[in-house]
Amino acid sequence: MFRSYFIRKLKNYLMLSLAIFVSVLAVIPLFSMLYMVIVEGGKVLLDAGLSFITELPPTPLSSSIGGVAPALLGSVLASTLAIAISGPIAFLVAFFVTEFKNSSFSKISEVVVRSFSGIPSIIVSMFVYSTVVMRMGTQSLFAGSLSLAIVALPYAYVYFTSAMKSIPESLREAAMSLGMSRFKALRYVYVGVSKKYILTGILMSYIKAFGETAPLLFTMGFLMNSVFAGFLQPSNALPILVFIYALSPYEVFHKVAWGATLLLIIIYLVLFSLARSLLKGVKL
Amino acid sequence: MSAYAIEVSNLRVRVRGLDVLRGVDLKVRRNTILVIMGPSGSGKSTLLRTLNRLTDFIDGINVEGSVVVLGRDVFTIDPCELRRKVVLVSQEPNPFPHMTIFDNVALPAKLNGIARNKQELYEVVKWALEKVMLWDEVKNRLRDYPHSLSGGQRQRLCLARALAAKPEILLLDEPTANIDPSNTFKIEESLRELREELTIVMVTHMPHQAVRVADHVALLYDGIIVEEGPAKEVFMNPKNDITNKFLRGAI
Repeated sequence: MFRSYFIRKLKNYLMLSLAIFVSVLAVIPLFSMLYMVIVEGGKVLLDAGLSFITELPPTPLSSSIGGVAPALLGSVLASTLAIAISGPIAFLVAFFVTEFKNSSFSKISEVVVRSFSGIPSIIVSMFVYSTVVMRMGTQSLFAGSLSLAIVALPYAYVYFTSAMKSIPESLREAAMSLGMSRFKALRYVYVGVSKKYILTGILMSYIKAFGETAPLLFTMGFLMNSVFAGFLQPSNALPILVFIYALSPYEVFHKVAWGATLLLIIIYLVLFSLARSLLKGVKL
Repeated sequence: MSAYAIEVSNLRVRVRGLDVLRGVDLKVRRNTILVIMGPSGSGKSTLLRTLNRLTDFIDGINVEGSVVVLGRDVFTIDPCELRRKVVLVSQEPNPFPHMTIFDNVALPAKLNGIARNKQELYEVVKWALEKVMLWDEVKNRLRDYPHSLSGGQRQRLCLARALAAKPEILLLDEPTANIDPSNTFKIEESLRELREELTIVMVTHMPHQAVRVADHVALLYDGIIVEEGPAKEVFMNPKNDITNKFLRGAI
């Protein structure tokens, strides 16, 4: 009896050790990457200070690091516009699909929106390039936003569908039994009950749009000589700046790329923490 | 104007191939309380929900027969309009958690155009909360959220919310099933008073509750009304063997 107990304990120890070892192995690349970004990017941000987010990028042979103002503003504007486009569409589709789940239109909408998430984002970029950029004759903040909106749409849809499904049946019945139409129930009850889930969905989709590179490659342009040129003019974005500067041969550009990467991670962490804290939800 | 608020004839309801109601005939006089009794699964809640077409939201449902409410066939009128006049209060207290106590009661009054300004809205909310004997308990915390209330208070809040819509018929689906005797007493007391203003149809599986509040009772068993009549008559002298067994707690 004691022998079998000892063997069981030994097996338990071995499996536990294996699980811990594999977990550590999995997080090593993540932490080493974060460590590198914090060390390399940290030096740049400390060196440049606040001017890193307010100044224009440096020239290749410049002695000062300059800043990433066009890329930061471009990222903020493009992501905001993308969510302004994709958010309402995703929300209405999510509402329709959950409320009229048996209609063939909602079944088709569900498949179409979900299939968007499987499309490689570079193809989205090419699609927007051929349909919008070619017609407008220039890459632009608007084309970039449209590209990001297509990429963010399925993410927003998934979060909004969860928000709609989080509404208890008893509250749906309460709204209906008071004589509310489905749209009044949406306006007065569903949005209020699931507002934190909806906000989380908006934030998570924003984060997704903010960090995307491929959808912007053919659509956004690469503005360097001014902070903002207009919505229908080329702009810039942090991920594109990192991509282009990291591949360039100039050391000052490499430094800016490290700084921009750390800035991206900081923005991501702040938004992600905000989204997580919102997920606590309302008391039902 | 007909003396009956509700007239149901040969109502058959089938859900996903299963017969839930098998030919129900029922008439409810205006300004009375009809209590529909019956064991679990007899079709009471389905019958209640057919009266204001909440059954529309059940997948795979098939409804046949005639349901005339306030002189109109329910299947030919706008269901939202119907539900504004025929309001249902569920078994589970379901106040809107994101709204304050005041807003919960004010919402149907606003949506139904009962109140035209803030003062009128306040009066309607006060009236509704007084009707369910909740005003004294919440008058100093109308801006609190319903989760601060007890289960029984929340159920009374839901009843007040239903009353604020100024319905002509109130449907109650076992409204006291999950609450304590004190709150049950208050709700029953409110219902007896409300009878003067509207018609009430209540579902319960507790015969002793029917004794306390009903003017008329109907016993639903396996999708059929096996006996109905004035409450005293049915309780004192049940004519049907199933009613007899139900009242003795044998089924």
